Amino acid sequence: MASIEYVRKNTPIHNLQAITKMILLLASFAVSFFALDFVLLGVWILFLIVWWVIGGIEIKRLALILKILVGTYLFFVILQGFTYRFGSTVLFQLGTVMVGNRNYAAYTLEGFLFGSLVFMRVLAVVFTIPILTMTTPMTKLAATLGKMKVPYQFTMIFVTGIRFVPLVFQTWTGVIQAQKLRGRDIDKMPFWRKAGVYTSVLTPLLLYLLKLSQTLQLALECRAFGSPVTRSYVEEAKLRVGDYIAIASVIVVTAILVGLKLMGYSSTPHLFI
Amino acid sequence: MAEVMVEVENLSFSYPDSTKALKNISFEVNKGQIIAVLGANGAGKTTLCHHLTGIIPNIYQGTTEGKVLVAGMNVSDHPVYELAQKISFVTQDPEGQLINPDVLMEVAFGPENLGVPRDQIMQRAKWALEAVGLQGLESRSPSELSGGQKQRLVLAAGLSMEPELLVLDEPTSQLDPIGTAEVLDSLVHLKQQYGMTTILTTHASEEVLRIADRSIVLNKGEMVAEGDPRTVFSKVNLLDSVGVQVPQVAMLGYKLAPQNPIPMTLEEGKELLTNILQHKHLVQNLPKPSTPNAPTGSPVLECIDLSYTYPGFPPVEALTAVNLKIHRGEMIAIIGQNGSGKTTLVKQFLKLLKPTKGQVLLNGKDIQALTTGQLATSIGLALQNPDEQLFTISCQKEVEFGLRNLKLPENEIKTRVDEALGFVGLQEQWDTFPFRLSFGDRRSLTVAAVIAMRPDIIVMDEPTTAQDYLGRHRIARLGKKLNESGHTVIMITHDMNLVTQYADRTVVMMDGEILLDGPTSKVFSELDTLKKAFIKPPPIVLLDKELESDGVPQGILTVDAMVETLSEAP
Repeated sequence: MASIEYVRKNTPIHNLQAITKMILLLASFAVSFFALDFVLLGVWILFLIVWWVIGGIEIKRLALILKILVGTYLFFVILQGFTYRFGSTVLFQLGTVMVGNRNYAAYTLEGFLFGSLVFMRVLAVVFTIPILTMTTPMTKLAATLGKMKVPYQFTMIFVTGIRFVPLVFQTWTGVIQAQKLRGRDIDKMPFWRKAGVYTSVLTPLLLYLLKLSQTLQLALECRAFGSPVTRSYVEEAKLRVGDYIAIASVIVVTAILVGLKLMGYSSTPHLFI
Repeated sequence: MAEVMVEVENLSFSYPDSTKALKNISFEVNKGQIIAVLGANGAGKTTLCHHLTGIIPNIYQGTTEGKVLVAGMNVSDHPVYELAQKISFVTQDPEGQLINPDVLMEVAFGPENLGVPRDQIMQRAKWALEAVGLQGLESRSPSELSGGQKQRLVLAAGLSMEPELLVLDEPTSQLDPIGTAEVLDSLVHLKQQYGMTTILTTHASEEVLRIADRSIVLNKGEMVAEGDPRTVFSKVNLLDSVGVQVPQVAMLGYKLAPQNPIPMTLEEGKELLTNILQHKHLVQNLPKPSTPNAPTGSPVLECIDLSYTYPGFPPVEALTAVNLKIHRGEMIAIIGQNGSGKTTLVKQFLKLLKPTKGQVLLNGKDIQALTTGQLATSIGLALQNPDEQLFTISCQKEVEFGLRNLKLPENEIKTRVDEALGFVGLQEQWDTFPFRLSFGDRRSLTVAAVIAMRPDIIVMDEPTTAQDYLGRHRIARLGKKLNESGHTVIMITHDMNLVTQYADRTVVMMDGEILLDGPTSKVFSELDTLKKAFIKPPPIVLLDKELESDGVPQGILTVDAMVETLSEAP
């Protein structure tokens, strides 16, 4: 979570309103669902990379996510390589596991490509998330949700959740360290025994969360949270020229990519789709 | 006639479990005054704050008698959100009170909830941030602020609701000396510039003298003293009996000349001592305080060019080429502001953090080949927050936990558990759920769990945080007792009175480096260097320095040592 947190910078992407970036996220979903094609998804991912560059998003901050993505990619290509139902060009096989007339021990080119394509679909959405979270302060997001008439209580749950995640992690680490300090050799334990250790962390963690929520309740009430008046917002969610340009570019690119797909374009017609 | 801001009339309160927390409290506070409420933990300070802010009866329930009026409003007749426009409340833990992702949002949050127009909110935010000295930090995340800045932000967040009364419940108990000074200076500024009325609970007696107009002392829910701080702190016997720390100069005056008016300030203390010295015609005959012998032999623990950098964006260098030798049987205090590298250093001893450069040697051997679990048999570390260190269902199980990891026989475990619980005075609570103990007892239990493993070296990381006067000394005495029984004890603390009273050797850290290291009396004679590290020596040390030209020997660190020195004079 921590690696996709907001990073304060002054870039054109940072200056956009949250609603603009939420539209980009919606567009990413649309492209990944309606433009399933190597070239079309590739263009969309390039389009997102342009946003990354303009927004000054540092790839080193996303090391953890990139590692997870590599794992996800391997999972998709291995799974689809062996199981893709239209797979016919066998690249290698690990034996014979016949189910009907399909050998599930055979790894196919079509399966590999389809796995890669599904991964690109995931990538198209995942690449959009840092653009929203790393360039948009929670204040702007909350104000936008307020403008969209989302009840502030819901926004508050979201905001406080984000705010307290690091504190929960800090407590978790503290308890684990305390157990090590009492001679529990967690470092040398096999994975299944480590899992047992983690359950014993829950008691102090839950008690800490209860205490924290009690303090939080006092803080909220003492700041008139829940008073029966219409809430005002300091953050203004008005769209500016930059937002209109960004939204227009998103709409145009999305329309072209989805339109091409709907008109039957395919970069790999001979393979599977 | 001064305008009355707060009227508390015959206030009594019992919690639903029948615990009587307040008994017939009455007092008034005039507009523009700063009132300090003193008392040991459990005296009723927080319960009083909850009444002043309407949290009782609006959020917490119980049986209340009497009434509390703030700015003419009976607080029990109004919901908290209405009272919040008159009364601002700050508690001791800034982390839990900061809700929003940046400073401006935090300050704007209250007025936004009241539907105040944007332009007015911006004006109020500007004023509130200026009033506490946080202007220019509007876009910062609270996590980027220091402890003192965080607490001042909580204060600003309350100020933006334009209150008439500030209620602060131990606002400085979790802060280092700089943070404490920042918060208290803000209160003085608010009083002087805007006539703000403030009621704060605290254990910091020396600071009360500096900022408060009046003091109230609570003991077991009763008000046992009230008046200007000078009058209150003159009641030395009473304060001592209810666990309130008497300022050092006052205590010294009381012990040396109880028949005289009790001195409070450094100047008054100096005047009293000068008179005594002249009366005794002594000067050159005063005995010099003893300095502990320099440790000999090979060190039990050694850091060689130890550096550590926290990974992040950007990385933070927390230790820079630290060299330190610790010998068997030493009692060492490590002091310095938050962020100076104290905790990072002791975490290296147990490999909770891996050095970026350099090495740690335990009995001459590099610790890199050992795990934290293995090191824990030689080095016991009690971390800052006891609540992160208790994870079983009883005190007995808690102490057993480490012993079972050592795979000791049952009879040995039983012996050690009884011994450790007895050592910290918790033998009667052996089957109590740890989280039902008081904060001080929870802290002692974590120490018991550590000492039961019989490590040679015991490290206590800020054992005095959020403790009252008695609790702080109880833990420090425990450390001394362990030291006297042969353990090497290392204590990290911000409490300079404890350092001068209990530590033989003191290490001063600043910006990840060791600034001073030596016998405590020697370290505290380096006033200029201590100032550089933002460390304020106890008044008795300053007084000793002031009297150097009068022939008083240097290196006196405690009230008792000063009294002893002067009493031994011919």
